[in-house]
Amino acid sequence: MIKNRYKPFILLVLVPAFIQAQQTTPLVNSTLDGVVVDALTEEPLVGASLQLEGVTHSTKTDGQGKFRFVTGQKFPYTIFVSYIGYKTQRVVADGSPITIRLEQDATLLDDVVVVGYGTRSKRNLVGSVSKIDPKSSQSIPEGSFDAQLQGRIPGVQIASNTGIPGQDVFIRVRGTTSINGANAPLYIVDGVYINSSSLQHINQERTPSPIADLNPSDIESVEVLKDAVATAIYGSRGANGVIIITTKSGAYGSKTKVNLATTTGWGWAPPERLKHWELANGAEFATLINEYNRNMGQALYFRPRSEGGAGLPEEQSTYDRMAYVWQTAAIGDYNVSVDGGSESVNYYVGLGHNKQESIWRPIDFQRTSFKFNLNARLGNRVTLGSSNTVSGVFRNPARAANGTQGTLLQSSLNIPTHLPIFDEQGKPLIWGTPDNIAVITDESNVKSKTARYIGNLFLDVELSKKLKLKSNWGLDYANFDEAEYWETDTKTGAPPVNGSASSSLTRNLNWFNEQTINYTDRIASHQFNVLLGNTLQGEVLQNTHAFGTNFPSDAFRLISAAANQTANESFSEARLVSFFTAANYNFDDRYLLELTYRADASSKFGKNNRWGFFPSAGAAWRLKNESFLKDVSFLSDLKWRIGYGVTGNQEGIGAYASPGLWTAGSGYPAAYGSAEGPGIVPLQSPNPDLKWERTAQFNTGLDVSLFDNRLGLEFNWYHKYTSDVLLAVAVSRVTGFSSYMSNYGEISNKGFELAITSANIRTKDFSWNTAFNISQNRNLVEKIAAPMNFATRDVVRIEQGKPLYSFWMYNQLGVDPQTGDIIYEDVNEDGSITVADRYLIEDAWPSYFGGLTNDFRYKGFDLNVFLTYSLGNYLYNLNRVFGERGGTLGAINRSLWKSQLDRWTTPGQITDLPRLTSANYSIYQNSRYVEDGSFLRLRQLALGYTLPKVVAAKLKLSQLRFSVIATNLFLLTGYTGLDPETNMGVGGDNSQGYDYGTPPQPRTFQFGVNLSL
Amino acid sequence: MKKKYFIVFLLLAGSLSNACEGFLEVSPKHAIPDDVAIVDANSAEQAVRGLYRAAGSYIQSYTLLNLLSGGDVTFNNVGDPHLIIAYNFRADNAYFDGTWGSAYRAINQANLVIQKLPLVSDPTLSDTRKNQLIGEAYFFRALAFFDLVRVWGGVPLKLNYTENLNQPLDLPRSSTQETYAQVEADLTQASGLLATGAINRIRVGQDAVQALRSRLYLYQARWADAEQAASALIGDSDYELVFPFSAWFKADFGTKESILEIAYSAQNQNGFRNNLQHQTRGGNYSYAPKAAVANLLTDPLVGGGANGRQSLVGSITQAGATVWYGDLYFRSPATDPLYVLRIAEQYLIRAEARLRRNDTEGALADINAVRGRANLAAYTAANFAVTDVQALSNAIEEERRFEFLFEGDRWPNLVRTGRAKALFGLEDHKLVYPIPIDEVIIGGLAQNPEYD
Repeated sequence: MIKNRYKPFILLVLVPAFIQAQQTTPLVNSTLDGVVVDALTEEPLVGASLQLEGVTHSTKTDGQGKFRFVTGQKFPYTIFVSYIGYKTQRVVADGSPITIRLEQDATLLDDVVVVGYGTRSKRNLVGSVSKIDPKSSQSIPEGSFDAQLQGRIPGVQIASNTGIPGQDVFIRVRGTTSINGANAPLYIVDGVYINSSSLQHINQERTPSPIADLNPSDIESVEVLKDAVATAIYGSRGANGVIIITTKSGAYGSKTKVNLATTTGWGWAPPERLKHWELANGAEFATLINEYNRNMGQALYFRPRSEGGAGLPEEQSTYDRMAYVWQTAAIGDYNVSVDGGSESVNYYVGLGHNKQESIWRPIDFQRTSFKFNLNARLGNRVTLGSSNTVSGVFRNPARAANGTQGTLLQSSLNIPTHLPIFDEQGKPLIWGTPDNIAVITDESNVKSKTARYIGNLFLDVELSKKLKLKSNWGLDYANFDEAEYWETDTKTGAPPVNGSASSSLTRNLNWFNEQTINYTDRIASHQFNVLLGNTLQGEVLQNTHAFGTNFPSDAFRLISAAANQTANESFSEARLVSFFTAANYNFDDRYLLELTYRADASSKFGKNNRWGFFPSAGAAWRLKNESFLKDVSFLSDLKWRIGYGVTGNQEGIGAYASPGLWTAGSGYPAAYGSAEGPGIVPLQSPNPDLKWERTAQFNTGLDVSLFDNRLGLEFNWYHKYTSDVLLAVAVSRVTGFSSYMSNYGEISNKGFELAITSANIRTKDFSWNTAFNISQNRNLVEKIAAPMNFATRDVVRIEQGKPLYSFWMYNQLGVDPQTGDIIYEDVNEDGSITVADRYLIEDAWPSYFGGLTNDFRYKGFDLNVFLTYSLGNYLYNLNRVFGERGGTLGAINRSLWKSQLDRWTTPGQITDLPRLTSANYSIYQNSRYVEDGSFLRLRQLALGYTLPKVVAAKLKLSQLRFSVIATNLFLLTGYTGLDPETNMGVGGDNSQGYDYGTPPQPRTFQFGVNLSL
Repeated sequence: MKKKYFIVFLLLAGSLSNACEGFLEVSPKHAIPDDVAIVDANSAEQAVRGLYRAAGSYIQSYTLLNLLSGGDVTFNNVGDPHLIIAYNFRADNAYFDGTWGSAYRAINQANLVIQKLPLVSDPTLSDTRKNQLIGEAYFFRALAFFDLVRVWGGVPLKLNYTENLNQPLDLPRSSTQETYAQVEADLTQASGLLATGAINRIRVGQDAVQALRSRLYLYQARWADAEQAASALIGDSDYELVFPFSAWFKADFGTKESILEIAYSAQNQNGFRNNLQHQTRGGNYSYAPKAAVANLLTDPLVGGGANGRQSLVGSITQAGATVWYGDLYFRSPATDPLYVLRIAEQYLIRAEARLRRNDTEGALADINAVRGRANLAAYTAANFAVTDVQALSNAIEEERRFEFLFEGDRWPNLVRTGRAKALFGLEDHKLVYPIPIDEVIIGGLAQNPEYD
């Protein structure tokens, strides 16, 4: 059966051969030389596209804005000239040379926007799609391009979570639809569906972002598909939005262009934020502990040494462990690219290296990437193309915080300051649970390497002007290789363990094969396009994990040297078959209609529900083109859009979530002396009815363009309703299970997005452009079987009628000024504080979020000021919970913060921090630690200077630009943690705003040089 | 020309859709479908091995929970255990839920064996072997129900395995008496099925059933039955109080002390070790003996010296300070067996039974047997009058405290005798744990008094 499947593929491989045989020498009838310049500044435009009307012949301008057309056409003929940020121009060429002047367009209405299996002009979009030129954010030091785009895409909430480069990014397109399914959007790179979930096995506290395997510098444009009209063509994978990434390519008939770009600089912790982590010094700490002991009727811990105590408070020293952790981080990004093309071949080759140290030692991130895109015309009808990304990512993820062993934060911030780091002999000391900070910042115990290939090969066949076929094969392969070794001076590796090592190799293969047929026609004012297609996809995920302990010495690092060795292996495979069709219709550029329909069958679901069907319909009315608005001159364009559709979700659940399964590994011996025989236990209970999560989305929007396109407004209102939510439904544990995967529950997301772009000033020498966006998403759990708890200490809870990411707390009303005892809200008024008094207080969702960009240009100078903001999001500050534990964790187990000194001491005192007793500090889930995380951040300030062309030309360069880039220069927030944009991954996707042990986003300063030959 | 392309294209699309059905068939490599579990001799043996692991996991969880409320350990990490140590019992404390859940996981595994194995017909599986396996399942089900009832009160008697979870489980709590009755019924079943003969200390045999029976009778205050059951084991030459005290856990596996222990290996390690051992010895040192308890043990009059009960704790000196850790489980890798039933307990059960039956001499003899093995002087009239029931009773309580320091005996024992109230200053309702909140909400179980 499977073998048969491949037969047609072989046929397809042969196709190019007989095409080649038919190729004839092209006839040259004319040669057109020209240059494309900005109409106002007369500066040449590099990379502008020129497309001959009626044929597929196109080219791009070179480094001097020049181009040459050698064609079989005779003058005069028509060319369409387009350039991002400029109005597309129709030029009739009647002789060479020619100068084409393009006018800037603040609203980008002529932009070509990539949508599912096609392109549209922005003017004629029916669905809700945002297109972003990532260039201005590419110098922001983040591992992945999506983190760089924070605040730039309306409706898309992005938080980099952490100051650890290349780590998980929280990204939500129009809210969260799932609880146990995935919520990340579908990423597509040049038509290849890529994996965006972490392959990490060893170091589970933070997850690396697989998107960081892509070099942002290779990316030409990013399109985010948001509503159902845009995403339903991706059916079962579309519910969380789709991010389409188009990488750079060369142009046919263009000169070779070499581009070098480097930025290099430093990052450090914003000093004004560090005050929030100030620790009580030795004497203060001892005073607090003694006060606690006294209040609890215990012997004072810090009593004279002669009495067997640890010395009086004033005798205590203070040791600074944080100094081992913080560092000035070196960051750098180096890129070289070459692109160009002949009449029949174009190419892009990019080579990049990125290195980012974290501001926490010894965490770092390095990526080396190679990109090769090639398109070749085989005759007049057939194009063969390939896009290839190869990258290697090297991380030292260390262990930031959670867990007890070898974690940086617990070994520094959480250890009382009076405890020495070394003993008199200089031997590192271990106190309480964590490791010694000097040891773990000195040794690198955890390393990971990713080798990734993303690529495709496609064949475009133009049967006629109207009918096109495309066959596309691609794969995404990643090899995630982790190794760790715990030396004998770490807790984990200490005798009698004698060194502990782990080696894990995870392999992920995503492959697909896709065929599409596209028919376009125009009859009078009726333009239409019909698409038919089918896709086969498969994913194989494998892991091999070996463990070893008891090494001869720390010189040995390979598990083969360990006396005790064990191993693990896992494997899963999932497949998807899809058929889809789309039709769009345009009447007279006034009425636009789009219909899509997709059918998917997934191996993940029960036999009863394998197929899912996902329709959508959308319409748009371009009012501006109606006679009654034609003459309204201030209105450049006006369009009203409306759409509805259904998309699905099947990501995030296991490949075998439906059947009842038993797992092995529970071996047991028959008697002492005999080896263990294999044992089996139930793994999961069956659910043959398991099926897709379905999200129905309604969207309506308005696109307005005013004053000769100088002011653009895009507004969207949406309502997403998700049903059959993939949910590990909690069951009574009396059943022997804790949950089973089911379709239960309903979640809604409602919101609006507003984006405004404005060309405020536009003169020959000076221009000022502003882009602003604001979005709101209201999330609500409409239906759920029973409340579900997440994160340690069940801090996050999902309840019907409340949004996801809500904090489950006891509400502290205050501190009794007379007794100093804590007062919690007694919700049921039964006189005691029990779990019944715990309720959901605030959530991590912002009420509003977005960004504001101002771009200034004066002659050769350009300035980019980019602000991001979020309002009304709350965080649970677990760092502070530990820092203000009131002495309950004893004299050596946890440090106390300086802020603890504000505790209640005398009657009449008004304070939030109760008297130091165990009862007053026994509850972690205290509303006092749920804080407003609203913020305004200066995300980037970039100043650049581009040498005048004439000067550059003297240096034999087509362009030379210098820049200085600063990020995170200020952060306005009332939050008392280091960074309000933080989250620790405990509780998986369902816990957000959980602040613990995470480095803040660094403040960085970089120099950049960009040079083109 | 055009046609050619088109045909190739259609062929492609067509063949792909044909291949669909087979294409979507993927099968796991890490697991088997539930309909091929317990269908023959092999899978039956495997399921029972799985039961030992499931039981080991719940016993560890149960023991650690009871250590927290037993009053003799501290918790060195952050989190919910501190609330339990402070007797601030909350229904939303994850430690209650975790233990409860793992006990029922073991019960479900036992139910699978009890119900599915009788249907297996495999010529290579003898009736004797089949009965032995089913008997082992009955024993573990009895043990789990017994452990649940003595700290929670009556619990739902789940006697059928879970087939699917599409329907809510509608099973209320049984009474304490009904739960104890089920334990006894299961033990009766087990002893009717288990083989007699060779002693195997890591598999359940008749003697393990007998030992659990004696414990059950103790909790039911059936003194004559308890004495009889304990005597049967004490009189059996396969079991003895090994000397010195440390010998039952420090050196060999499967000593004559053990009636039942669960074996661990480098592949399946005993997680308990990690909780007890100090960081410098590769543990996480979450559970530590209170300094006061450790200091008592270093007193030869209580701890009996290095080979006595003092060997249950170890110490290291850090920056001039002495730090204590539990040393019952200490091997690396953690292959330490988990001790489930020991002969020493039978002596103390019999001592109490004899005491309640007014055989104070006999009671004292049993106490002294246990003390003697721990290098401790026998109690004589110089210590207290042999007829002083309260003194003897306290003596038994104190022997249990140190004899089973890390075996989680103290809390259930003090709850049984009601002494927990006085010793820890507790209100009445705290003598049972709260039912985990999810079981109340999802399972619809009645909460214990005062925990609502």
